[in-house]
Amino acid sequence: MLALIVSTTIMCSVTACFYLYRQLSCKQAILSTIEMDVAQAMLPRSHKLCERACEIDIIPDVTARTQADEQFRDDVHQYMADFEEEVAARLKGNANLAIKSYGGIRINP
Amino acid sequence: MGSFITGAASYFWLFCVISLILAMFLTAGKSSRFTLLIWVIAVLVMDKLAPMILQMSDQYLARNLWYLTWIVIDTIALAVIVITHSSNKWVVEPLTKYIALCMVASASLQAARYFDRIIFQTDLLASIYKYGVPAINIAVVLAVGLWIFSLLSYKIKEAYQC
Repeated sequence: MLALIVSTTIMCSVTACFYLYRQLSCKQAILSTIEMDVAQAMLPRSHKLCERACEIDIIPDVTARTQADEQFRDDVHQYMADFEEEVAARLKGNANLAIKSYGGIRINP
Repeated sequence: MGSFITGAASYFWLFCVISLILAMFLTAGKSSRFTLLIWVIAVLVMDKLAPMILQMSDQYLARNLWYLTWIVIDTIALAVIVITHSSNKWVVEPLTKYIALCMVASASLQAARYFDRIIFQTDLLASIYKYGVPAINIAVVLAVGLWIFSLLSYKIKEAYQC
């Protein structure tokens, strides 16, 4: 009887250990993998933004440079918003992660 | 070598306490410091409980309690680490992951030995258990040593840059 109680408790404890370790390590690992995937997919766009930043620096006309700079800032903000939206969309498919929001976007109510 | 491993392992917590004090003066992350603190407390509780279990008159009860105690302490320690991290939204640092993995390995080894010795009575894992548990403790101590070394080298580099 004692062995039965102890072995059941041991089985439950070891299962809890594995579950807790998964909670600790997998959540962030999955999130960073999704972020890296999205960043990889958006790499051509980010390269174009870098290229544009270099082009803006050599515009001789001040008014044209200011306008281009403002446009560039809007593009960077749009890039970041699109990145967060894409990560949030992919996170929605992982309900078991229990992540409620990402970058101000609500995932699981 | 075998007696060194089993003998020295019981003093490793002292090295971790010194590392913990050192980490207070270095730029160490909360996650690693907290996990190390929990691990030291768990090891000290185990060290305190071990003689009490060994002194029990009922050998069968003592054997059952021996493995159960270690597993329950490991589970509670791991639960405290996970709950604290999720409630404070701390980033899980590599040392935390490593210590958590060592706790899972330790609990699994204890469970395997319990079933091997008490339930199936095959006694196949005696030597694996004898050196496995201190080896897990040594693995934690080595990781803590590396962690302190990296913190110190960062601090020295920072001082030279100033």
